[in-house]
Amino acid sequence: MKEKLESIRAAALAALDGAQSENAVEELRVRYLGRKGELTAVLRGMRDVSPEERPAMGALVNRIKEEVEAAIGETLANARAAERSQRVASERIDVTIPGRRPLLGRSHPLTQVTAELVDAFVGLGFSLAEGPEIEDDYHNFEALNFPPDHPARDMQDTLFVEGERVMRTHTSPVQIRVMESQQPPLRAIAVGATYRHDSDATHSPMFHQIEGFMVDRGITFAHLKGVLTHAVRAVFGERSAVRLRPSFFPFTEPSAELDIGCFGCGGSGGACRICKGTGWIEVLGSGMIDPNVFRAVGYDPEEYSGFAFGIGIERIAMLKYEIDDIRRFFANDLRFLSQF
Amino acid sequence: MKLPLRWLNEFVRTDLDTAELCHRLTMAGLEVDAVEERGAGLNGVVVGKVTATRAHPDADRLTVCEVDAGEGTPATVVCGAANVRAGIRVAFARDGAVLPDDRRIGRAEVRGVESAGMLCSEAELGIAEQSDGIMVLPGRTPLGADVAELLGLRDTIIEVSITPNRGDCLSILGLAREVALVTGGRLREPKVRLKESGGACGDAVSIRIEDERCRRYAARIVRGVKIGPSPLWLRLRLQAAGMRSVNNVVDVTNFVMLERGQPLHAFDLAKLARPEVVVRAAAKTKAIQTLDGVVRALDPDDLLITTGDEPIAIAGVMGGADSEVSAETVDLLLESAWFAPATVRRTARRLDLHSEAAYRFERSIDIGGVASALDRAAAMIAELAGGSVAPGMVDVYPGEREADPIELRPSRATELLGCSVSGAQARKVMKALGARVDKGAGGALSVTVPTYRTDLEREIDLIEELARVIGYDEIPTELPSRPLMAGSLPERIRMERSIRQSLQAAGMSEAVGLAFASPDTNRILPGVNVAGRAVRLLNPITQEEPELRRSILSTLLAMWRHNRNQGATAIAGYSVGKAYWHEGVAGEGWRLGGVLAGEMPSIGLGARRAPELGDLKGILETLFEQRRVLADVAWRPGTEWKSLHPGKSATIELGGAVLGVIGALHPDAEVELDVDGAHWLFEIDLDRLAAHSTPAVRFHGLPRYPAVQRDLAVVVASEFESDQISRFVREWNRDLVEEVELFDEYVGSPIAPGKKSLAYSIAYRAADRTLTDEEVNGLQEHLVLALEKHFDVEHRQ
Ligand SMILES: [Zn+2]
Repeated sequence: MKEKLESIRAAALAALDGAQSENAVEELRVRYLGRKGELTAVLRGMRDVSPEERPAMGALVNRIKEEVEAAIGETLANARAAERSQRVASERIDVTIPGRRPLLGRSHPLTQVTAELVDAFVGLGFSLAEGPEIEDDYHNFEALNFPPDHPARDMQDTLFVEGERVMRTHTSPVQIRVMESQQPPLRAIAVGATYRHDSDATHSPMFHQIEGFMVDRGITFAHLKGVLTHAVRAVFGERSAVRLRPSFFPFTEPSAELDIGCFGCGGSGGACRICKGTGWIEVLGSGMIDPNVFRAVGYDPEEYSGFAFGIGIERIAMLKYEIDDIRRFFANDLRFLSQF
Repeated sequence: MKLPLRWLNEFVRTDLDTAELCHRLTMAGLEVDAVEERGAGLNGVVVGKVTATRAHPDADRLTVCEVDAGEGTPATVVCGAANVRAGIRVAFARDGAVLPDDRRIGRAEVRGVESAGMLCSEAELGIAEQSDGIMVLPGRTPLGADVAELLGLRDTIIEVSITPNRGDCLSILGLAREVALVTGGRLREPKVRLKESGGACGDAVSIRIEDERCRRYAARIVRGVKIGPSPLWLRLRLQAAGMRSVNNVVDVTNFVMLERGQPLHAFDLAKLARPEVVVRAAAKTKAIQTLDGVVRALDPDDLLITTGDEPIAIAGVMGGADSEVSAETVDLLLESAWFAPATVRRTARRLDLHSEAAYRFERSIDIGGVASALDRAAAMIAELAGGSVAPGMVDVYPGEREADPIELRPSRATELLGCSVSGAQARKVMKALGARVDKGAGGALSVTVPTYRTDLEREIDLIEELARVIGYDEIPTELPSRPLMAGSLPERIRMERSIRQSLQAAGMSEAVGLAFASPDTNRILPGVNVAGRAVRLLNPITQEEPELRRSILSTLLAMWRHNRNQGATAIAGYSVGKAYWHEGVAGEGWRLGGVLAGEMPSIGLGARRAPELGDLKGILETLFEQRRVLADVAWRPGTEWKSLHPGKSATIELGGAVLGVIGALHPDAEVELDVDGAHWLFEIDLDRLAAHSTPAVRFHGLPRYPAVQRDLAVVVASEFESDQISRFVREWNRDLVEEVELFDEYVGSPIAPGKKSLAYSIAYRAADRTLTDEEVNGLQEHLVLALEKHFDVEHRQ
């Protein structure tokens, strides 16, 4: 019996040595270790072995069985590894095939610039407010200190709507609406579409503004300079040169236009196309809120002061991306939109 | 406002170079738009004398001239002008000369005769718009002198942008005051020397003001004038300031207006029906023929200058044709007056007559300068057109009084500007502005501003002047020290931002369109939750689009057409914007629209295919899921839009109310809208979406027992709506059915024609136990029976 076991062992190990595939190994397992396998048959024959020999024989059978099982396991692992490497060697795909995906849609450049400006002011503690585009004369003009038949209204050529309404010519009526419904201290911005009766390469009948204001006790022109300088640098870069110069808006006094040093020529002017040689680019209008505006909303101008500012978003986007014609924003050409 | 430096220099001298002057003006609120070096290109034109002429041998109308430019040897020049003759002095453009239009003059052969240059006309020198013949210079003009220098044709013209509050700067004198202010220079006002003779003005004409919108009216009479062309210097002045020369009298009125900002008008005295001038409202006077020959209908409120019953001018806007100065005019009545800005503006706008005069009256002129401007004009006319000024003027100025002083508190200025302003400093600035400063109460100054500063009425106006003169650069830059306030965005904006991201991830690009639409577009695209009718504009930008859009899809259809015309094959766009309606009153609301047309906006092998409804619907479903409202959304077949394909469109409902529409255009609408091909579009009401509240997020425990998946296939009629089964199954056993998903739709053999097979995957799960196979098999059997009972379906094994 012992010899038989040894010969089965030798045969099994030899057969395993030559086994190449997983299937071949599996067949050998069945042949030696299966229910009707050769080793199993020997094991069954144990009952014919004398009780004295049984422990030693049992140990031998188990050892051989374990040895064969281990050899099977090893051969199987080798066979599987060989098969995997064979599979890997035969598998090849074209990795340069483009990915299958939706093309990335883009938000409109005006939306991008708006979000940048809005986020800069929200970071400074300003909250966004909204108001209607179809406005009444009171909120769009009168409460903002534009008397009827005043030439200041020429600055804002108006689109009139039936029912004595206008398309808002600026976002400033939102200032009035916020102040009518809330008490200082206030820090608010408004953003949206505005309309003027004007159409050429630099004027669109519809355009967008962002407007902001701050009202509290003791707000000064120095604060206006501080906050706007800070905000403008957040958008145009920390190193931007900034200057304010006197201007006129009916709803602010003193009024100021804010210029930044031209990023086209670095402020040197010359034949620069962007700043037309002045070295400066106008980016926003601003000023201390006129006492008449405070009176219109029922604030005491001796108690409260504040400043307001307005920025033309198309203008900023045109400067930032060097866009030549304002009408490009509204043609929605995919070749244009995909660039932003 | 054009500011020629030669003219400015008569009022104030400055050593500053042009760039520095421009900078100082800009920083004082007088923004310089442009600087023009006029005559800079004009070179090499000198004074020459025609010493001899002879006819051109081969051309009737040409003359061959010998021209002496002071160099000894005369040059031979061929000239085509009729007025050339021996003895005159002319502007001779020599070989190498450059004219203002950049034309370079060289030697040239003119019909066989060599010409060494050209004799110039005024037009060629840029002095006149057109000329008959060459320019003839005065007899003693030095030969060889540079013509541009001699005539003062070189000038620097600064174009200043004047804000509407600074009417006082619409004159050379006004700008000179500002230049004096910013340079520290001294202002010199020209003295008017007037010689009067003949019958007194007051005896010849009477003036009555019957309307308080005219606060001052002054007139003078100049007799015996001779209307003719203006001298060159006057024409050059007008030209430099951007006005055209008409005749000596009109030119003087324009000159004085440019110099002092006071518009003047000259009437032909002989043409006045009566020796009286009345300023009154038009009332029953219906029309006037203005001097441009047009008969203008009048509004009863228009302010008129009349004589007898006849209107002779619309106050401040334009004179009448009947009393116009003509070549035969001998005696003049000169008007200098103050009219209320609002009335001039109203009338000028209504009649669309925007004259230089009206522009100035609208911005308020200096009521204190009415008489001196009149004197200046009368003196100049007498000098340039002959004639004599009648003694005295009639000056009706009913409310004449000194302006009320304005209280200026330096402490208030300090508070508002954020920099310390002392009383002494404030006083100095106010005086520099020409104001009278007295002591006021409690440290305040009592400031009486000059009459030309009509914009200074309140303390805040004076504080602005302080800031302007001190200089904005001198005011510190400070951040307010205030309690922290958190900035915030409204929910609507935050929703909009997440929607944009979701749509862009699906390949859609954002379009922004103008809000205007044609009535046809508004009829075809009626909008979502848009009541009443379209909003009409009273003065639309174009006649084609006189309304505001009812649907944001108008923008996306325009985008589609534009890009298709540019050759794009895939159009995937969305737009967020307002829709507008009119229902008793104008209303507006936020909408979101989208379009997928042509091909899917995707790349990769097999990605190029026509979009299906499911593609766009899936994009919206993702968006709804992001908002956590997908479970409340229903898709009802068909819409109220006639322009959508009835079999390929749906109404989107949210919580039972209409949220939007989705679908393909009706083929008829495709024709009307000029679009075609595979496409899908949607529009939803963003206000309704934002208003739909979603439950607060709360964690639910994870399921403890496994789900069991079963598939179910049924055969139904091809028009059957698959969603009916999904909804039925969910409701059929809410406890155990966790999810139902349609995963296959099949048409074709072996399914009978007119039928389709739908395959659903159903997930069963119990909260309290593991479902057994037997239990689930039983559920499936019951479900099949229930389906067969409720629908015309056949279970497919
Ligand atoms: Zn530049």
